[in-house]
Amino acid sequence: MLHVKLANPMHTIQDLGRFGFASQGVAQAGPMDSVSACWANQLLKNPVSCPLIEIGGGGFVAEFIEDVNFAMTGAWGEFSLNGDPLAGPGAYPAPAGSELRVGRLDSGLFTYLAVDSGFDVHPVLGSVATCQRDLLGGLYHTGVSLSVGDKLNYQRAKLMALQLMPRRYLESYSNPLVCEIILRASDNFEPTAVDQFLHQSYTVSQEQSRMGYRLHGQSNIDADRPRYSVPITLGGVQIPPSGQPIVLMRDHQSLGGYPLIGTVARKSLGQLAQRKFGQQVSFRAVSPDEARVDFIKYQKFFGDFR
Amino acid sequence: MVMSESNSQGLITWISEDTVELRLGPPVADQTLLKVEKLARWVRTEDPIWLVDYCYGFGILSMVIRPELISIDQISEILSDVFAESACTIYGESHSFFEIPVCYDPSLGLDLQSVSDLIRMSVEDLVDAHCSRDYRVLATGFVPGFAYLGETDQRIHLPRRDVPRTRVPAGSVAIAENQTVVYPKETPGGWHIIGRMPGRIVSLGEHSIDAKLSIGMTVRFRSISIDEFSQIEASNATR
Repeated sequence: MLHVKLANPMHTIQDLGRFGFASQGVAQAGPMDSVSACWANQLLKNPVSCPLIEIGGGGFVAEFIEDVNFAMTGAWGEFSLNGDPLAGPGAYPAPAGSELRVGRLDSGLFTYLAVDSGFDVHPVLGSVATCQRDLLGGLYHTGVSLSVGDKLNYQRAKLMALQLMPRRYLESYSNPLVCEIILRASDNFEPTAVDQFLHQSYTVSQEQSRMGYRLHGQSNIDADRPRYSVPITLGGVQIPPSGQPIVLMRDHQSLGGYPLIGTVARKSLGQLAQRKFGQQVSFRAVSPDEARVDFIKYQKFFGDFR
Repeated sequence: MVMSESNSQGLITWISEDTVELRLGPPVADQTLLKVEKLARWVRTEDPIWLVDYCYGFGILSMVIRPELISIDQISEILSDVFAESACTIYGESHSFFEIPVCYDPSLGLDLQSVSDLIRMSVEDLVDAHCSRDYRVLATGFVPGFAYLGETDQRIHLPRRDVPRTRVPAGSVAIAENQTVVYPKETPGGWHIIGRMPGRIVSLGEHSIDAKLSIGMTVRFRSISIDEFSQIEASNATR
């Protein structure tokens, strides 16, 4: 059992997401940075869909009541186990009674915490993913985030040796990000507007949530508003009347009234999710075929990937 | 034959690594809605392994797929077979009629008066225009249970509110553009609220969603008094 001692509303239980209900307006939810989340389960040799904790913005403390191995990946900072600093993303043994502290973050926004065989959480509509917007998933099945006093069950496991994540897979979230984007053929944008979108750089605004990240660019992008709402895809980039892009994240609504200029490639989307207010972002067009080759590589590597 | 039919459905295009999109037809056409009903039925019965999820909205179908299992050409062939299915297997299932009782009391229809002023029509005529015709469910989504119904009487068309409300009460019946909707739960919203239905339009179960409205259904609103509204609410509460 994991006993939560300190939490904030950005600390949620996730799995790969809730699929099969988009036509009824249910968000897919799932981890904001799915590459890091998949790594957390991979390091413990768990199935990729095992329930884990997404720790947004640091500030999480918990006690492991029984022996277990845990993995932490993604955003990193002052993390410790029983007062000893954790060396970096990897899998660690936690003897019964160990206290994990996730303090201030140096790089990134979302840290993932997995345990052997995953946390034991009951799924709703096929998934444990917490979606505050839809009041679905999580420990109490109602979309609420973790809070102090919560107890998450897991299976006691034999303690293993510490195993750090291979260096070549480590990501830094401090540098400016070039997001790969699959552009759409759309009547809503003049070719000059698409050029303008690709040639300027943006900063992440303060309006960032699990639903979407608003970006801020120097000039506004012109777009015609579609007459009807259109289906929204994960990573879709909307251009609202303000001319400043919104990148749609895991808890996005299923239909939206703003025109879409393209879709951020999945590997870039997790990287974008890890960027904080004020960090720099630009876009580079890739073909759907190029992006799909990368995506299928991730799927093969992790067993599944969304 | 299969190829020419798939061409008539328009081109399937990749919009992300695992998502394809396809235009099914004009948003308000019977033929388009029938295709969506056929697709929904086919997904329910076949549950194809290559299909992760799909979403339809106003003429456009978007499908999340497993790109390692299927090609665009194969999807195109499968869909043309699905859409070629005889319509009679569909009718009688979701082509049902659903009546929604609505109380158009100004205490619940928060924008009734302002809409009446905007479109220069009396509240009585506005209510009459809203509940005297049948609507089709044109799309579902946004949030679970939210259904877009159309088309409304041309005399009551108006743009959405300039400033969306931060809280629209659950059950609110609202209009904007050429459509009308029922809010399944309390959310922010930009539509003009003209009434409220008693009870709930959707309930979320552990394994499924019980939504009263699905694409293609025919819906009519029936005007009820504030007393009837309270009675139905009270009887729901005690059940």
